[in-house]
Amino acid sequence: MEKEKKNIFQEKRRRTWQGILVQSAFLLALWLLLSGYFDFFHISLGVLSVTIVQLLNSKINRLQFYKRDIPEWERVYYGRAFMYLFWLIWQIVVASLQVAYIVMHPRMPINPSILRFKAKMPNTGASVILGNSITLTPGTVTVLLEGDDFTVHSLLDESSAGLIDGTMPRKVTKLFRRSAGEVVSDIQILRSKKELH
Amino acid sequence: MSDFHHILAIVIVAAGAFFLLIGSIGLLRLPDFFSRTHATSKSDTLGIILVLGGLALYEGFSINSAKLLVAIVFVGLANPVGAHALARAALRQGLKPWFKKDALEKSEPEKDKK
Repeated sequence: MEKEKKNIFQEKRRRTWQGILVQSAFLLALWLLLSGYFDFFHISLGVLSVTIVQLLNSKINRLQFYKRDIPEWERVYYGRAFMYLFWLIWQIVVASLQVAYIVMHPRMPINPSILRFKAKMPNTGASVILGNSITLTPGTVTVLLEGDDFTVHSLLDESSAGLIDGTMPRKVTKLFRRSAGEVVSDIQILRSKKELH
Repeated sequence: MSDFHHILAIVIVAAGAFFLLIGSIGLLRLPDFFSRTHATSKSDTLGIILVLGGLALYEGFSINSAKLLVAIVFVGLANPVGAHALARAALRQGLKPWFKKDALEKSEPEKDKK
């Protein structure tokens, strides 16, 4: 028990340092890209600023934001993530065309509803990816996200279909897991102010 | 060849401007705050991505186009988060969305009077 605790502590510290190094490399790459000068003086300025940023951020790095993420290390299916990115871009195009249609239509055929559901995602990152994807896909915007509870505002009846049958949550789960079962449950659809507390 | 890629860049930037315009029209026409976030989060994201992407294409392969691509990534990340933060704050403050049913119930008694 005692040993296990120590291992988790070491693992946490190792991962914090790994995170700081990866972040520094990313920030320095961004600096180089945005400055465009590759002489010693400008690069040393970049290193200095990255150090200052990391010192300012050190308190944030130590904070434990995502308690349930600490013990397990999640693997990511990069091939699926790549495909997901293109699917998402396509969805953004479809969503924009749909908004264009609704907005240009003389009578604006909208029927808004609030959708509440639970989605069991593998980790916090997956929840955030799902939340952002819901916002970018046609007709739906994530309004609240607390743990596993999602509240979504949907503009049309047909736009929430992909969420109710769980296609999109499964897609996101599959970025982290080999396969996904039923992830969505407790679906509530609210269509008037009375039903909304 | 150069002409062709300039024309393509101009077409893409024009398409982006069109989607930004749609976003603005939606902001004015849609009935309530929550449906307006749809207009800003979707059309504006695609509009900005197209405008910056078109400019990157116009610029060709250089450090400036790389900067534009980085800007696209950041806009793509920040826009949905911003829309979510606004909608969340609105719901937390007790703002109720506009529903078709409520609007119909409201308008029906008026019809009866006539």
